[in-house]
Amino acid sequence: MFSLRARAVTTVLSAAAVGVMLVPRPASAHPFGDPQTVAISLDAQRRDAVHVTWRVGGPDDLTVLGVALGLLPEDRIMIDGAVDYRSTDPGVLAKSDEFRRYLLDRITITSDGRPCVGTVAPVLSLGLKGATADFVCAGPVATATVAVRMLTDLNPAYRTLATGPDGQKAVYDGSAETHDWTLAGAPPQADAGRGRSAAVQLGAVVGLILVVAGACLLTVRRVRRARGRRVAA
Amino acid sequence: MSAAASVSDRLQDLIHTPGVPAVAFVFAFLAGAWHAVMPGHGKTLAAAYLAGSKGRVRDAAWLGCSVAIMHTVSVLVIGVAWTFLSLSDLVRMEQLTTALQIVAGVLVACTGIWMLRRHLRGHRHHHHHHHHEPSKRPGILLLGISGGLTPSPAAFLVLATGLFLGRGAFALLLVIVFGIGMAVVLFAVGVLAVAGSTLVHRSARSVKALELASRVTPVVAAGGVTLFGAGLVTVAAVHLATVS
Repeated sequence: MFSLRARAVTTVLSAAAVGVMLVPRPASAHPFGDPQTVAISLDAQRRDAVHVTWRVGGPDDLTVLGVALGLLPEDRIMIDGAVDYRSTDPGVLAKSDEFRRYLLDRITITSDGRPCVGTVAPVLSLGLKGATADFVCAGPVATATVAVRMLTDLNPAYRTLATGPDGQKAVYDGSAETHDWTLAGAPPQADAGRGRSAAVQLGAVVGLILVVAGACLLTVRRVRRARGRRVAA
Repeated sequence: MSAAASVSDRLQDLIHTPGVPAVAFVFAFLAGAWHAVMPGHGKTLAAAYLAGSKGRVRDAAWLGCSVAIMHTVSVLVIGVAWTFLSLSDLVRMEQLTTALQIVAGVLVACTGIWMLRRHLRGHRHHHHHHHHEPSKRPGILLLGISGGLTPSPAAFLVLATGLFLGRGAFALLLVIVFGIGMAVVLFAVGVLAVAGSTLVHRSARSVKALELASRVTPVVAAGGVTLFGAGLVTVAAVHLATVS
């Protein structure tokens, strides 16, 4: 006869083991999973051409987009929101005109108040490398206003983390759909210094925590030693 | 799920809000606690471990602390590498987190084997119940580390967004508070396990059954923890094979 305790522990362990085997891992919550990104750069040769490379966060975001564009069957998104991602999904989107149109609709550039004309470069590996939109503007580009609204029509909570030349960084979301980027020449100090400032702040916080932890450790040790001496005496 | 989504959403919005609103820390704490309540983090495992090894409240505290510290370090390292070192060019986040889950599973399996060995060795010169209890801390720390190794997507997103906005300190403080939220839930689970096992221990009717239990439970627990770790490794390895 097993005691209650042994039985309880056995039950807990077997339930846990069954749980791990049977319960599917919840798909990375959308849009709170890995963030999507865009990289903005000026063409190396042409001063009037700008490239924007969009990369999806979680691969199943592509399935969600494919369903929204009518490229994938609707039953690939379950009632509870779980996404049935298949490895062929990025290829289906990459080959379609709908996806190209969507990309150029959701990412737009204006320079000197005039819109730039975009085309989508052949998409080689949408899941891994992303898709690049090439924009040609009316004249040489120094600063450009880039609007990114990728996936926010599916869920306004989607965010895009954007990087540009000289360490410029910005976050696109429902409340900030456009940002100005300095593509040629030195960017304003406030934009360029953001990443560095964030890194310095991180270092400061980590350093502070280490100092406090070290001080606590020393104090505890000293108190213990003092107590030990008192006991010995 | 929608409650968690809205808490996470509010947290992301608050990163954008100028200043350092106190309510952001409340949301970070809630998001962390909710994240720990969700499946994973070896809660059942830690509970079984604490119950099986006659753990004390202090051990539950060690568990909570180690999960919180490991999770913060994990989010910090991956967030910084992702933002500044173009980690995403080398490996996709999903592959990275799945690989970390394999490591976590290996740690759990190691803990189980360590428990088994300790038990078998302890038995050889086992006198009576009141012998000096060997330390449970290495096991609990290993479980805690494995529980905090895989970064939560919400915490990672907060840190990455904060770094992109130039608000690194604020974002890191939020991640730390998120970890504290996780720690409190895991500590509570640990205390429940300790209290439950003490209660059963006290109310066990026959001394014989109790003796059998104290002999059998550690073996069952150690075997269970080992199997559980092996299961985690298998599931993560299969997942890694499908995502890469």
